[in-house]
This record gives sequence, C-alpha cells and structure tokens, in this order.
Amino acid sequence: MNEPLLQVSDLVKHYPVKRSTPWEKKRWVHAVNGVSFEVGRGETLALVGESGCGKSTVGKTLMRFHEPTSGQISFDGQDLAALSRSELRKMRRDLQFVFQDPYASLPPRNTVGAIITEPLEIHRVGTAESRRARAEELLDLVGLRPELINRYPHEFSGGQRQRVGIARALALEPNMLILDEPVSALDVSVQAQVVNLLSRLQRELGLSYLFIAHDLAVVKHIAHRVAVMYLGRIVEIGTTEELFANPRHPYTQALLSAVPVSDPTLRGQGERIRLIGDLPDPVSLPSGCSFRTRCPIATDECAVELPLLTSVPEVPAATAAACIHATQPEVAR
Amino acid sequence: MTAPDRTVAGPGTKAGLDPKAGPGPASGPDPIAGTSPITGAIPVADPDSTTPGLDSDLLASPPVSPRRAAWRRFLKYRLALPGLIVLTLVVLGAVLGPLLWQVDPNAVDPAQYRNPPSPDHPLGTDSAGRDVLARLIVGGRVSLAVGLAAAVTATFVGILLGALAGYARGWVDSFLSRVCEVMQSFPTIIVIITFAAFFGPSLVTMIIIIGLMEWTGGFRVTRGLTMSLREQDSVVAVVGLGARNSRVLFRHIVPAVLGPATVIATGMISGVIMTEATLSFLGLGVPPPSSSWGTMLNQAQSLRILESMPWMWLPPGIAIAITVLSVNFIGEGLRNAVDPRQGQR
Repeated sequence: MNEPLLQVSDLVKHYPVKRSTPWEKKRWVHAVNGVSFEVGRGETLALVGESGCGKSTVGKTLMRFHEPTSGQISFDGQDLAALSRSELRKMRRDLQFVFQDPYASLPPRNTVGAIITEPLEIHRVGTAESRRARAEELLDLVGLRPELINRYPHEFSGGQRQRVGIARALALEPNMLILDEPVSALDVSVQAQVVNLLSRLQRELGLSYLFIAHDLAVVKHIAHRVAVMYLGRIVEIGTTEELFANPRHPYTQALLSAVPVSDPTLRGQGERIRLIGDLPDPVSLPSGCSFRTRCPIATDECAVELPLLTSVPEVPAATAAACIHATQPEVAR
Repeated sequence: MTAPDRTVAGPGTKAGLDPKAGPGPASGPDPIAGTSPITGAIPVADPDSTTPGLDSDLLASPPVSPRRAAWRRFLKYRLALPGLIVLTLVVLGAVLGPLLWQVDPNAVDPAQYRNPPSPDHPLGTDSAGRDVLARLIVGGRVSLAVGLAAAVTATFVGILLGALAGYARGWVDSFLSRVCEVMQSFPTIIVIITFAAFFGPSLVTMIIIIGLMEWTGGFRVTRGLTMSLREQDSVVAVVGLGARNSRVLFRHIVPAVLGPATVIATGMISGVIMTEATLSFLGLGVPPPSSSWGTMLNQAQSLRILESMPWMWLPPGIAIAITVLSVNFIGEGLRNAVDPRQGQR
C-alpha cells in the first residue's frame, strides 16, 4: 500500500439552481465543497454521512457521471478530471461502480449473461464464447449458480441482483470499485451476505473500495478507514478502530451515539447525543463551520472561520478532525 | 482493521478469473460458505445459503422473458387477439386475394354498367362496369400499404429525432423541439393537399408526405422517454462500463422506446388510412385507374348511388371501418403490453 491508488484533492461539485426568471441571481447547490482523501491499494475507505451530505455525489463525480466543478482526481497516476472522452472510456476498465438500487441498475430487457458480458463486449475482450464462459465464472465468483445465465433480472431477489451488479463491475478486472450504498436497499440478513462477499472479493482480487454508506455497523465491519462527511465536507477521517473508539468531531460523536447497541445489557449506558434541527440549505451554507447550526458545543468563534482537517502530531494514530473544539486525544505515555 | 483478514481459498480465487478455467461445479460447496461469519451488529442469516431458496425455484421454471410477459399482457385485452386475427385476414385477403379472384380490376365493360351483385360479380360492378370485388382487393393493397408505410416512416423519423433530442439535449433539443412545434401548428391535411398538388398524386408521394408530416407524435414521446431513461441507473451503469454514446442510444434507449413507439405507430395506421381515404375522396390519392378504398368511395359520391346502389360504397366503407377498428384494438392491446405499471418490476 505504498502509493495510494486514488487521490482526491479539493473536489468541488456545485449544481446550478433552476431559476424561475432569467434575471434572478444565479444560485448553486453546494453538494461537495472541497473534499480530499486517498484510497490505498487493497484498502477500503468508507464515506459516511446522513442523506444529502454529498457522499453519493463524490462517488458519481469520481466516475465522471457528473463533471466536477473543480479539483483533482488522481487514479493510478492519471488525472481523471482531465481525461478526454476516449481516455475516460479506457480508464473505466480499472474503476467500476456498483449502484445502490439493484432493482434499477440492471437493464430489464437483457439476460444476466448479456448484462455481465456487456462490459467485455464494449471493450472487445475475447470472443462470444469466451465472454460467456467468463460470465459463468463471474456468476460462480459472486456466489450465483452459472446455470442462471439465461435468466432475467426480474426473476432474481434484491441480494441476487446486487451480486449480478457486482459480477458486472468485476468483469473487466478493475483495481477499484466505488460502492454506492451497495447494501442499503437490501434486507439486513442479505446485507451480511453481500458484505461478506465484498470482503472475500477484496482479499482474493486485491481490490480497493470506496464504500459509500450511512449504516455505521456495516462500515465498521468492512472499512479500514472511515471519512465522515457533513454538508459536502469531510469533518473527520481516520482508521476505523480509532474513529469508532475515539471520535474527535462532535458530529461523529453524535452519529456514533445513534448506532443501536446490539447487546441489550449494555443498552442505555452510552449517552445519546441528539442533534436538533435539520440539515442547513446547501444553497446558502452557514458561515464558518457548517455544522455549527446543530452543534451542541458551538461557540461564537465557530461562525468566523472554516475549520480545516487537522491531525494531532503527538498522536499520529488519532483521527483528523475539522473542528476548533475537537476532542484532544490523550498523548500516550 | 475490522475486516476479517483470514484468507480462505474458495473456488473462485484469483485463478478463477482465468478465462480458460471452467466454472466450478454448480452443486459444489457455495464459495461464500467457507468465509468467516461476520461478527458485530449485523446478524448473519444462514451462512450456507448465499442465494437463498429461490435458486432451485428459479431453475425449475423456464425463463420468463420480458417479451413473453408483454405478450400475456397483450392478450389480457380481450379484443386485441380478435383484432390481430381480423387484420391478418384483411392483409392476407389484399395480398393473396388476386390469386383467388382472378378478375381484372381495371377491365371496363360498358355492358355491365352499375350492375347489382350477381354470381359473376359478387359485389356488383361500378360506373365503368368494373368488378367491385376485384377493385376492393386491389384497393386494399394500396390503403394498407399507405397506412403501414407512412406510419412506419413517421415513427422511424420520430424515434430517431426524439432519441437524438432527448439524449443530446441543449441546442439540438431546442432546435428539434421548435421544428416539431412548427410542424404541429400546420394543418396537416392542407399541407398534404398542397404537396400532392405540386408533386402529383401518387402512392410514393402520399407515403412520404404523410410520413414526414406525422412524425411529431413519435418525436415527443421518444424525446420525453429518452430524457428520463438517460438518467436511470441502468443506463448510467452502461455509461460507467465505458460504452460509447451510440451503444447507449441504440442498445439501451431505443429498444426501451420501441414499445411505446409501436403503440403510437398503430394509432397512426388507422389515422393514415383515413387520411388516404380523404385524399382519394378529394381526388388527390392514387391516380386512376388504380384503386384504393378511398377512391372507390370517391367514385360513389352521387346521391343516386348512395341511395340505391349500396354495393358500390358499402364494401370499401366496411373494409375501412373493419381495418381501422382492428388496428385500434391491437393498439389498445399493445398499450397494455408496454405499460410498466401492469408488469413485474
């Protein structure tokens, strides 16, 4: 894991707000406001946050489904944000995407075999027979029976469809998958199976994952590192262990306090931090720290300056948090 | 690291990606069964079954293709199948009829002037002493050909421009949409009459003019559908695989649009048959001596014929009515067949 596979720096994505009259001032939805992170080879970085925080937009912008407003995306030494259309098509062999909704993301008119061989066909890999053989292998790889190759998506359950989606994403042997809430549309029992499948594939194929999720239990299980997003910014980033054990940002602390405790004897012990109010309007962001409107420990200074992600030099393992009141980790020994 | 680090050599290890290696035995152990069950907040439901239950059910039943399901929904509209059968008979009659009824439709016989039906002329003769049955059969060819060809042309143009506008958006869409609006604001029949006057009445002119005037319906439907389809995950996914625009458009968007477009085309066929009848009635249809159902009606205009010689206008009138009706029934069935609200997800 020396050179990171994916390096994102200062990614910004703004959407124009539709104006009702042409003389109205142009306004923008600030979906992503300067996000930077890295994903190493074979590593899983989870991107978490509540609905509307911009985590899916980050994933889709990395795929250039949306054009980034500004920022650099370096993937395997290439700047994705600057690639031409044909270069982009070639790059897609190495970076694939798995969608949240397995009911919507598979073409309904095609058989599973046609769906899985489509990427191979697009990139002219092999012959019709070898592609079909590969599709059967891929079905086997994701835990589906190869005999199902002639079935249509509507005949499958959600979990099975998501496996088909994963098989399609793996067909070109990519280095990295962007998983956009890959299990949140599934039943909890099926979630576990798909998460296990993803862990196994990562080990066997050496894949890197950008795992976009809002379910912290799933994230804790699969991620090596976690980045917490709030209103288009990363407010805290660090290793999974450290972030779950010693969250420094008040927002992360609030998120973690909301995770249900599985052991009933331990229930009611942790203090539940309740956030008051709704997410501010992403069209007009609050000044300074964007979390201050809902932050339990906000002070007047929070409105002045935008806090940057800062790590603690004395404690290198500690997470980096973007908060002037961030909990200071104890300096060891 | 919380992710399990234990390496388990399943049947689908990296070597499994080698295209030469065959797929593992289907009944063999499920690859995921060997992995360590996860711990923590996620409950593990039966780690042995990666593809629970459904697998065997699925294998037992034959694949239900979307096409088959659509056919079932088509049949659900009770009049659709009778409509299809009647239309087939009408088409067969027009195509094969001359082989069975070998009477020259253009043979003028002054001795047979406006004769009522008789064994020699089952549907009687017209003002030129020509056999009405033979003219009905040959005229059906013209009416059906115009209806089908013009509707197909119009729908083809509509789909092509609509998919282009909906997919490209921006100025292409603005331009094509304005052209479409201009076309719609013309009274079609007057434009067609003007063109027919310029280029002279003929079968081909009629097909082309009607085809180029009536594409707006197909255009609007295709454009709207394309705009929503291009944002759908299943289409975005194909873009993410690295597909070119042409592939996305012709492999994924156009096939999805074909169903609704077929409904529009069927709706148009009956309209075009009527337009052809109108044009012929006005004397701007196919030039004599060839006939169409509309020209036959045109030649039966006089009050005397209408009052006392029904054999001259009833057969083409009934033929038009039956054809239009059965095409409409088929269209209604097709509407059911492509309506996603009635189908499975």
